Amino acid sequence: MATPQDPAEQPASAQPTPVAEVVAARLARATLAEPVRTLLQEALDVAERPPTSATGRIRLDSVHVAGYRGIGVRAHLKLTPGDGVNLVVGRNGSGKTSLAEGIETAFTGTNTRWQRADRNRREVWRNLHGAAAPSIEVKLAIGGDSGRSTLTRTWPGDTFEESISELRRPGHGRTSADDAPWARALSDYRPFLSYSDLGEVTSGRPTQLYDTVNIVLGLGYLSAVDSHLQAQESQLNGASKRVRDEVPGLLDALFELPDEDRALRAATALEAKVPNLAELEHLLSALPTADDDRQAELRLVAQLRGPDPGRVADAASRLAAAIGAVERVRTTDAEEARQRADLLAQALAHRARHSGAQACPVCGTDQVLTDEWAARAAEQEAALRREGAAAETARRDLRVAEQELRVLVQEPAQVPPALADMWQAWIACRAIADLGVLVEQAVPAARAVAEASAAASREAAAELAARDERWRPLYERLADWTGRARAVEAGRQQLAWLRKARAWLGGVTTNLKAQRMADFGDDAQRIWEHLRQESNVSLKKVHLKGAERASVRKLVMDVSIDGADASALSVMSQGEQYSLALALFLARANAADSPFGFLVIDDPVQSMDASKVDGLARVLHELGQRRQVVVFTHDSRLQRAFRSQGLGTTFLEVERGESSTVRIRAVSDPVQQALADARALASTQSLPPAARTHVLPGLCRAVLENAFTEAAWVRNYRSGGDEHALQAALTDADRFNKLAALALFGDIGRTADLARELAAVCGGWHAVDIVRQCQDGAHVGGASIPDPHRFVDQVADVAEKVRRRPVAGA
Amino acid sequence: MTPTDVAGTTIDELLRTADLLLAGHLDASAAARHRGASFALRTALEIAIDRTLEAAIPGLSRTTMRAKLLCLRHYTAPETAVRASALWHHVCLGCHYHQYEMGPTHAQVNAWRHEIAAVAGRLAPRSL
Repeated sequence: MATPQDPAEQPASAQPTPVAEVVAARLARATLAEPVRTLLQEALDVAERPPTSATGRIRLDSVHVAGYRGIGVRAHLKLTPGDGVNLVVGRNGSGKTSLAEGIETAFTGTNTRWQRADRNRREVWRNLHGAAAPSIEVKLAIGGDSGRSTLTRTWPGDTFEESISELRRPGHGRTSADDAPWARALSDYRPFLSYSDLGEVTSGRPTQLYDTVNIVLGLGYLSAVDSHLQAQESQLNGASKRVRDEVPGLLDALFELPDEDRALRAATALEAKVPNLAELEHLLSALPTADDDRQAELRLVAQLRGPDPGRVADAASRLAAAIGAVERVRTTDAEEARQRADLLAQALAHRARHSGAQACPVCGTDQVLTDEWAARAAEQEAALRREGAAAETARRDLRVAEQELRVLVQEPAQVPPALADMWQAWIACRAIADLGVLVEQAVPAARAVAEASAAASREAAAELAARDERWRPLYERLADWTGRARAVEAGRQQLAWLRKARAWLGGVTTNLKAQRMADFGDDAQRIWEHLRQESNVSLKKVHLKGAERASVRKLVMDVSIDGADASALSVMSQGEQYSLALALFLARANAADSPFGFLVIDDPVQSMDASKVDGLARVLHELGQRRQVVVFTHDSRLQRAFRSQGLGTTFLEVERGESSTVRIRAVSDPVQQALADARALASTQSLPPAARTHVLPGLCRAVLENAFTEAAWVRNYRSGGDEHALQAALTDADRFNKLAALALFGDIGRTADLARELAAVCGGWHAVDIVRQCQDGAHVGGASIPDPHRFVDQVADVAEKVRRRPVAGA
Repeated sequence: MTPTDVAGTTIDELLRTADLLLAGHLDASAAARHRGASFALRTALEIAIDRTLEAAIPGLSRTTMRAKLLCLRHYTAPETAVRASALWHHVCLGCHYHQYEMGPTHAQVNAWRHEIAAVAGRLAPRSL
């Protein structure tokens, strides 16, 4: 029963564009300096993207629940993962809420009902029949993915909070649901709504409402982008401030080094209105090498080393001893002694060759080379040889000792002027020819020069250290400061660019926020218009009051009652408040940056009156153009509202059997459903005759009843009739004829004209007979139906013609 | 109208039919089986009421059900009449789709079935 839609019912705004894309597009169009653009681009890239960018839109493909709450054996809900409304109908306790909660639990590991429940009532979450281990499996269709993803949740123990989740996504492997790309969006764009959520919206604090709506506007991404820019800006500002603040301290330290020429120059450079960084850098580069005389002299003196007085004294005493030894052999001519010893040795050898000849072979005197002589001569030869050797040794030792002492006299490369005389005296020792004088003078000269040099060196080293101690840390401080000051100067341009970037972003944010808030407000307003129906409260404007971090921020809903301004929540009835909450929630579900292409709503109609239910059906249908809407309801009014207004939906029915066996099946439409049931009965052989005479006509009457009821609603909707009146009339139509009159004429009183109209609509009077047989058969008389199949076919024909009539008549 | 209808259907037969439907031997939805059983049960109740009235004043069973239920108070124990009236209205709810109302549950129909057997039993001795 597709009926053309009123153009006014069409969605006012198309799918809004995710904020990241909007900003990227605006940036591309903006006239900005290239560095500013680069800064913005970097910040846009760095900031955490809104969830839509992370993944395509998520839709539900199917839900399997087992062993959870009202569901025992695995129940299976198959959905079409596309846009559109899926209405899952089931009576209270049929397990539909367990299904709705199951979806939420699969995603979040918990559900709002559980969180709000009293501790004592939290025990029961497993199915009491315990036929299956609790598990929930949701198959997801994620935009852009090649296959379905599977989200499962199981419980290893008895604690509800301790569940294990797994997300299997093609091309992404297995992860926990907590790591799913939409994990954060679950709280921002909660795609689950239960009746109690609506209560929360109306009873929540104003700041909560503000935050909820603010998140929905999707500008959190822009705040994050701005935070990045702001962080850079405050870093640069902070560095600049610190550099400025450190100048007085540095100056004080520099003035404490009055003997330092460079300290004074540095202070002058620092004190300038704009510190002379170039001068400071020059000073700092020159600092490490000694460039003043005093510093050079100090380093020289510090390195000065005199002779070792101990070694000089040793050498001198060895030389003195050698001199004494030489003095003792001074009269000995060592060569003379050796030759005389040789002569005596030859004479002794001659005497030995001539076997005791006593005549001298030189002078010929006989009887002189006696044995006595020989003994004396041998003795003398040995003495002569000893004497010569000793003289030779003493002389050699003297030369060595002299050399040893002289070698100690070393001249340094440079001698400080103050010690020049002392060093001169020491160095002169090298030239003293008289060894005795040398011995005498070397030792005191060495001692004097060594002591003076060591003292001077110590002093110089101490002075150097003192200079370094004050200077080095200051040098480092100054170098550090100069480096940072240079960076600050270089960042000055960057800072200007950053300010420009933030200003641009701020403008875009303000503009987008206003625009999106207006869109959101319009959405809420439009939804409210659908839901309010006869309510005299009209929603004029929805806006955010106060800044994001202000403590007084709130969501303001301006309403008027019969034209007079009022505050929204105070003047509304409970049902109206829920409707308003629903308006806000549905507008939020429509948010551009939500990654959820689906929305699960559990029993949204509870406190609504009939006319609001019609409005809700339209709102849901509208939302269904852009989202997969799954509505669980126990209330057949919503189903009726969809059908009577010709809004296409998928109907699913939840039935609960023995032992928590929950079955879900697609329902075609009530007329087709009743027909299918009638046909099933007609085909059953084993049933007693009473089933054919008393049950079949009843089921066939139900077919007609459905057809007439639908026709009555459609007629009423088309003609803009009052829904309350029709509702009342239908309740009043206690007899079948009255219902038929409402359907065919829109007038409960025209039962007399029924037969003729029915014959006209169905093209023959047989239709009147068939309707009468259905009526009779439902009561004591029963109906005589020879051919059940043919009868059902005829009923189907009548029903179809009744249903088509409004279209033909329109 | 006679206590049994043209096809000679009896209360027992209707109750058995309801039992069969409740037992689920039919390839129809649970809603249809429960609704079908409701039709059978309502007819059984109506036959029991008609029988009582017909026994008292022949021809009384040919009026509207509303009138019959009002009359019934005078021809049976008032308590039984109230039970029969309440039961009839309940079963009627099970017979109609009532603007897309979901059908009655198994438990509901089963309860009606036993109540109707009881009420039919109470109506019967008085009429005999």
